[in-house]
Amino acid sequence: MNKMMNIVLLVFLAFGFTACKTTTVERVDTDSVQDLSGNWNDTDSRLVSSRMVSDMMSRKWLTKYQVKQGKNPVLIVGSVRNLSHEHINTRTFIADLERELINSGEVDFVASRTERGEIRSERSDQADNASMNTQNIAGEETGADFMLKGQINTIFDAAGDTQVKYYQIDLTLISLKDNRKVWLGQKKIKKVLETGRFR
Amino acid sequence: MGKLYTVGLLVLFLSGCASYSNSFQQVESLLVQQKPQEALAVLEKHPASGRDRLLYLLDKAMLQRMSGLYAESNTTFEKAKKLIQSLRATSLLEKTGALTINDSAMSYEGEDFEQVLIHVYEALNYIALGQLDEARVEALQVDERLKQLSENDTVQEDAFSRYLTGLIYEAEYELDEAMIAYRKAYQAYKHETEAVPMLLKKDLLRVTYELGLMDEFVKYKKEFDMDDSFIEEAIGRGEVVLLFHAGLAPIKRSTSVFVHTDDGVPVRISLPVYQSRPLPFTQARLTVGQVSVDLDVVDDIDAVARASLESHKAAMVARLIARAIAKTAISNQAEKQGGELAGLLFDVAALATETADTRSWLTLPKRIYLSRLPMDDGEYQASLSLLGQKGEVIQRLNLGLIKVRTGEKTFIESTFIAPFRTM
Repeated sequence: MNKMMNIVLLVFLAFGFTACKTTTVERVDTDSVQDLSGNWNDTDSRLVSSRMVSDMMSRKWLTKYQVKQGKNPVLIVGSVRNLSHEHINTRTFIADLERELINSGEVDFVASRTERGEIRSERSDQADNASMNTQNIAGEETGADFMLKGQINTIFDAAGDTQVKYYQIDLTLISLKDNRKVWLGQKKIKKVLETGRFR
Repeated sequence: MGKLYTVGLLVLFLSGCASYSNSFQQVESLLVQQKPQEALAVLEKHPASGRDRLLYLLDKAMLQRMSGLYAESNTTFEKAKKLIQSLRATSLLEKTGALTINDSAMSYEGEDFEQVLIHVYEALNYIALGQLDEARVEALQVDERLKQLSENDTVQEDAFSRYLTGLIYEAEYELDEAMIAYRKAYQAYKHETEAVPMLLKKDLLRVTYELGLMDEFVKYKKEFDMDDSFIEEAIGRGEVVLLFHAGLAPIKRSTSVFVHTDDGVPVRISLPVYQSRPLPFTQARLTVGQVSVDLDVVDDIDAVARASLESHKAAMVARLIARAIAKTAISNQAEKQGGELAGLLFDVAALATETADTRSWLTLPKRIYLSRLPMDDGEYQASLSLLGQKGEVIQRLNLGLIKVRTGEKTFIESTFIAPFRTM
């Protein structure tokens, strides 16, 4: 029975020892992979965007267009819908996509619908206030040839302490001229998670 | 001997901490005065850490959404979800505490229905923010959560959360997904012995008709014995969807009962019992423009909470008896070693710490009402009338000017918390 009381004492003592923890900071490379919760993270966003863009750039539609038109295609990024189980920040994913696309040097890019509003208001402001030789006039915008759209889907399965997360990212490049789909890209990610029984 | 007194004093000290429910009164009185912002400020002054952290987060998120801070509310709900995830692993330390002191020594993990309601309210926040895709994420999470719960034990379904997911899929124009959710909601309402809301019957008929599931349509039509002329009126028009959160969820109180152990020894245990908080009205009616419709009760949280407590009562009583026996053994041991005074001290400590776990999510409403009203494109004045027993209007809540667009759903929400007497 003395044991019992020792346990009780131990419990109380342990309650008191919870505040002793100091903060430590460690800087890591942004390219390093760190899986914490198993949710969609920066690594996924980066990997998927770079793989898909390099796939897109290596396909026939691009050379066909460049040969036929004698210029780079102009792209715009539409919506990437999140139809998954997780709240995924699609904005960082879209930004990753745009960066990969522009840096490839093979395509030209125009501002998306939300960005255009600000640009236009600046231009109309220029019409009133900027000197004639520095003014950018309205009606000279470049129209996009293709729109990139996509969606993120997940399949989630769990049994006991093990969870399997399966992400499928689909991107489609659609011609604005005739609604033709010129490229379809798909990337899959599978993660297996083991959760602890005790804390 | 010295050690014994220390332990005794420690036990007494621990029991002195006021329970979370007790310190909630100020928040509640502000809510009754319809001042959610001030209630939020009061709550934020006493942030709970440790074992009551989840309760704090849930109440905070709820007060934030009542104050119109939907995005902030979702940030808080996400924190709560993370916490629940981490609490799913068992803590041996807390288990020992619960076995020897009382159930409040365990971190509050939330009842199953409370955990599901986190998704429900987060989805409603996203709807209010106009982010339907994100609300859909929550709908999928409800699906996932209910699947996990059904694997674990007897827990079942959650009728309203199923219904809401159906509504979200419908707003996203995914009728087939919506149909699956409505079917599950229908089964769940029948199972929970709550009346199947008229709304759901209409939705089942309408969606089966739209999807061309004629066999099922005929089956429901026979089952509900309903006229189907409303279908033509609803299809292709705009729709006003009102969610009305009325009152506050029941509060847990501690009661003591004497039970006999297997050896016939009487022991005193404390059990939590729910005390309901009554609503001052019996029916609510929505008026949009010239059209009025009575609201349906889609979630009776009061009843769901009681059923949930009842379902794990047997296990709770067994655990409490085991603890009572353990405490008696400790005090007997103390008396042997340290004399009568020590024994008495332990008895007092045991009695003082023997309180029921009265923690629950208190800012939940007592009931959720819903109504769906097909309307033509345009702008309308909307109001909500709360009716008494004889159909007299007790209170009218103005919902302001609402816009309806053809083929779209306009979601509106209202919250009403009335003053009531506490016993």
